[in-house]
Amino acid sequence: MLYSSGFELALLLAGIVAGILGSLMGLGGGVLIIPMLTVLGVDIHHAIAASIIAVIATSAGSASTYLRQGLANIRVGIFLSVATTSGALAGAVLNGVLPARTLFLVFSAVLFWSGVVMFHKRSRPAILIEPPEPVSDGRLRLGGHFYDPALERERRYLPRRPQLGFALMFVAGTVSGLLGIGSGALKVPAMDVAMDLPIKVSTATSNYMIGITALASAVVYLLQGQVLVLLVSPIALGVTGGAAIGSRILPHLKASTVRAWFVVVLAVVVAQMLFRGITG
Amino acid sequence: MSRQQRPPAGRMETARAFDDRKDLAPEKSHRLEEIISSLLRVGVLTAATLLAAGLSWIVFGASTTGAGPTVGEALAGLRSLDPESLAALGVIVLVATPILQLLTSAVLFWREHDRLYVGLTLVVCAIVATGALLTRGVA
Repeated sequence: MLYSSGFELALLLAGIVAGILGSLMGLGGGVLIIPMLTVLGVDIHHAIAASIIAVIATSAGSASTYLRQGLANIRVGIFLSVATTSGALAGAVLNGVLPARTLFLVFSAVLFWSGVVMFHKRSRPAILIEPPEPVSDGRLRLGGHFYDPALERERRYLPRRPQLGFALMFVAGTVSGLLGIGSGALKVPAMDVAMDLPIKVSTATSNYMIGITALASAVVYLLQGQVLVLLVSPIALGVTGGAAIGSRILPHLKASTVRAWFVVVLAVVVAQMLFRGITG
Repeated sequence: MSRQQRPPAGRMETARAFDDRKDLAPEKSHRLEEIISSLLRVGVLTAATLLAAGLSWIVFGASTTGAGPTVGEALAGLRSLDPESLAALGVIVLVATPILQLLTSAVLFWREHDRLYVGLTLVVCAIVATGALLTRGVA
């Protein structure tokens, strides 16, 4: 493989696209980056390592803006990170014990179902799930509020069923540990479907979390010497720029628009998982 | 960040105005979010500067063939300050950012006397560290 200026520019542009979509949808962007890199002829192991670093760039870049906008919820993020990181650990331990093909098929079905639920929720008015003024959110203090420029007012929210959300996040972590697929695609539905968080809070908080989930793998890939400077630099740089753009767009989008786009992304992920489940 | 310092962003002002109306605790939480946000921003901007500097130097300067160096190999050239080592340093700063994010969160929760979340943050740190050690052993 030859690194020309043109190749580096292509990587930079791929990074920008992945950064914008990743920050809007609460994904690391691995779902997009890995296929793009393999199409460009990059070895799959190097592609995965580069994409993990890019995930951290997406996460840090967009979470910074989302925290300032009040969209990313630190407590929800830390609480659920306990589940995703321990799930990922369990997944790494279980690797090889469970047949990957079956898992791909099972989880493409699960994601398909989440996609259907999320698509139906699209038309539900947001006001119905808003808690009354005095929010009592218990010991975990997971409630929050943010200014929604699309609605032109403050929105309060209180997550429902934190235990169910925690359990689903553990499963999401295990699946991403086992299958090495983007956990953002699983995190957002868990927050949206189980905990009834506003969609923008879900994607923003997912962004806050994916950097933490990716951290362990990133350290491992660095130590193993899988991270190639000339490959990762333009992608990470592009992703940083893309995340800066995406995180400034999100507040102004309608919740239903974000939902609709996310369902499209889910469809792509389901297709990838089905393909790997069928072909092995 | 001291109490007197106001964040430059206009959006934060909106959030603050809302907090001032409610004389409850969220003021503290918002400071937590501001500090973590600033930390992430500094990390990302530092990394991006290093990456951009290294990358433009590489692209407009010497061309590399083959697979190019890994981050570890490139860091060896840090003393002579070659472009690849700058970019590699950017990658290191990027990976260090979430580590600092977690440690700072733990300290800030401690200062808010939120023991539950100090505990949860440290549990996350421990799991991530175990994960890195464990997978390294397996691979």
